[in-house]
Amino acid sequence: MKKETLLLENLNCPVCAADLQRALSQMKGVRRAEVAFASGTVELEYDETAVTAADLQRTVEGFGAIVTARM
Amino acid sequence: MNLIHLVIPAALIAGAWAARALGGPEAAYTLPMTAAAFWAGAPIVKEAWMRLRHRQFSIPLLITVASAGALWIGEVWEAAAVTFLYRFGSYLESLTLRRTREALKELLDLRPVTAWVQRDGDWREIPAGDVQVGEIVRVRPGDQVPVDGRVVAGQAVLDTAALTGEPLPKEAAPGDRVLSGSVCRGGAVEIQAERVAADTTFNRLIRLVAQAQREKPRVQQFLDRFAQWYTPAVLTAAGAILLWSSDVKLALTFLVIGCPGALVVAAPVAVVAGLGRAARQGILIKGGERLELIGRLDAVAFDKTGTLTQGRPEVSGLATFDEDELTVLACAMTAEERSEHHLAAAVNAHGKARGARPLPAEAWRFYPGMGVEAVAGGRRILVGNRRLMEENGIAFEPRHQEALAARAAAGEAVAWVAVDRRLVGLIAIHDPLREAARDLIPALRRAGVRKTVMVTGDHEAAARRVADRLGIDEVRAGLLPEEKVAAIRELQAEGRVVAMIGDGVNDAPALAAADVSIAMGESGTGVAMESADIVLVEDRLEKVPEAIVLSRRILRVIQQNVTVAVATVLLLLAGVVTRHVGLGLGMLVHEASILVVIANGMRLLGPGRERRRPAQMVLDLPPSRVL
Repeated sequence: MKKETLLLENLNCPVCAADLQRALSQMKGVRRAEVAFASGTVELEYDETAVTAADLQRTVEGFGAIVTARM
Repeated sequence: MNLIHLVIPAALIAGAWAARALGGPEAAYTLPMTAAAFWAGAPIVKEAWMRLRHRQFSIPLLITVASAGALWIGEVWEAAAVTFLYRFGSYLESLTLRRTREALKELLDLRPVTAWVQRDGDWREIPAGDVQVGEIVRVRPGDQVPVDGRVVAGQAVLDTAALTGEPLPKEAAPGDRVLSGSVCRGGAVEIQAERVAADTTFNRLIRLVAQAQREKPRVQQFLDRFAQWYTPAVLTAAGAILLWSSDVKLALTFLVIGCPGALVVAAPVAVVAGLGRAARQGILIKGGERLELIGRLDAVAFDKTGTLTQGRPEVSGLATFDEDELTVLACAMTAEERSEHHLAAAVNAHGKARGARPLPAEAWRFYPGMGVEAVAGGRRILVGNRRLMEENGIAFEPRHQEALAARAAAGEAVAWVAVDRRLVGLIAIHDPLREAARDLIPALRRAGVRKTVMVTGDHEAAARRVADRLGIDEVRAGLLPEEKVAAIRELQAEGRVVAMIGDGVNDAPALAAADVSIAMGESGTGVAMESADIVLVEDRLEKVPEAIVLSRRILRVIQQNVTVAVATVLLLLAGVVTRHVGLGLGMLVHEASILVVIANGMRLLGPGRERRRPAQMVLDLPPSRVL
């Protein structure tokens, strides 16, 4: 299980943030996904054997956001 | 987003209109307009597809279908305009949001990186997070304290402003507890680590900021909720019309007209215009999503030092004992001449203004956290706190005590001046109020704020003195950053919408916890500014009530715009379905509604209607009628 926090840019509306959270949570291998609109961050907890960081990033970017930092 | 993706479609659209105006061939209009729609639309299509795969009907999907449909029936301008406007709106939003989200990064930059630790009888520099509990670390001038712990050797002056907001550096001697994130301003100490890595005070502060930002209530805006059912509804309706009438053109007209053109710009145009006006008045409101809360504010919490006060100490009084004022000032200046202590600057500036001059001195000696000693013309001058005097065997008489008592009651800091082991003066230093703070509380009340609270790390007497002069309702003094957060939460628990005004890193958690955070732009720290919802340029406190009033105006304009946009769309849809409105008329009204919405938003750039007070109305009457 891996924990990661992503810093996003272009996360521009609260509804997009909620939609992104829903999409990430539904992905296979993702245990927890929390998108914070105010700070523009996503907190992820996922099983690296079932889903890769690149898969998650593709989904985030598919929602029009850009990952600027990983913490 | 790269600006080129806005510039190119904009240039293509402009080129197309120019070609038509100049009477060029139809292709010179159609081709660039189509290219603009494709250029601006490509990322929208991509996002729509991605969200569709997650079974989400999104606005990008509606934009995609509508502009594809518009292209299909040859309405290239509508396709280009809708895709371009959508992306332009996104771009403006990301610009305003970007800066507000840098706070976390900036705080991380302030974190102590390395520590000098004693291992195997040697000093080694290691990553700050690797220090173990019980180990001894060394801190020298300019270093950040990497751990929470207890001083075991040495003496130093530590600046804890980042943690407590306390402007006066504190002396740390063996036995004293010190916190990570303090900066050493002089001397050197060895510290035994008690809390390390993630448990240190500074790291807790960072987590507090991150957490508080997450806990901010999400303002569920009417428009966004509306968008959730609007999109699938329009798509479904267009599909139903196609099935029912088998008229492709009618269905697409419906879709194109149903495309939320005015709706897309209704809020952004009001927000951008309103925020632009605010910026011109020295109020930077970051992002539109806080406006609703700003308009509803009914409690305001203030930091004291640097927010209500100037944060620049001044000499406020002088008591002399057996010597005249100029002599006392000259002695004090002699000693303070080479001191970098922030109170020294106040003493030197005051002395200079009164015409005193420092004596030529031969030697100086600094006592961290206590004061300074200078030798001038064979006379030994001491300037510092009571401890410095007592350690030098200087006796305090009742008249000295009385002079001190008068000053301490007023919440002022004091420095004693002694010459050849005899007290000659007492200098009182205070941090003056900002000019704008004086009328702030009444102005806030007029703007609808019902409760004002001071939350400060400073001691009670100094806090009380400032609060009483300004008319602040409640004082909470001696607070740590976490306790400031608790004070904000208490106000929120009373059902209030709370703003916090502050300037320091130590205010960051409280700023983040408040519904609306307001930071000082000139004296404030980067962290406070980056995380704040409102930044006051030039520290103009008097702008806070204006920000509240302006936010309400912006919200009113948004409501009007949404009403216009929705009403237009509904009317047009009804007209299309009943075949009273064809594509041409529909387009015209649709575009006109966008223009109306934009013009209404731009009203915010002008001055607001001044509400006349009854007193003024009486004065406006012709003199004969008043008499």
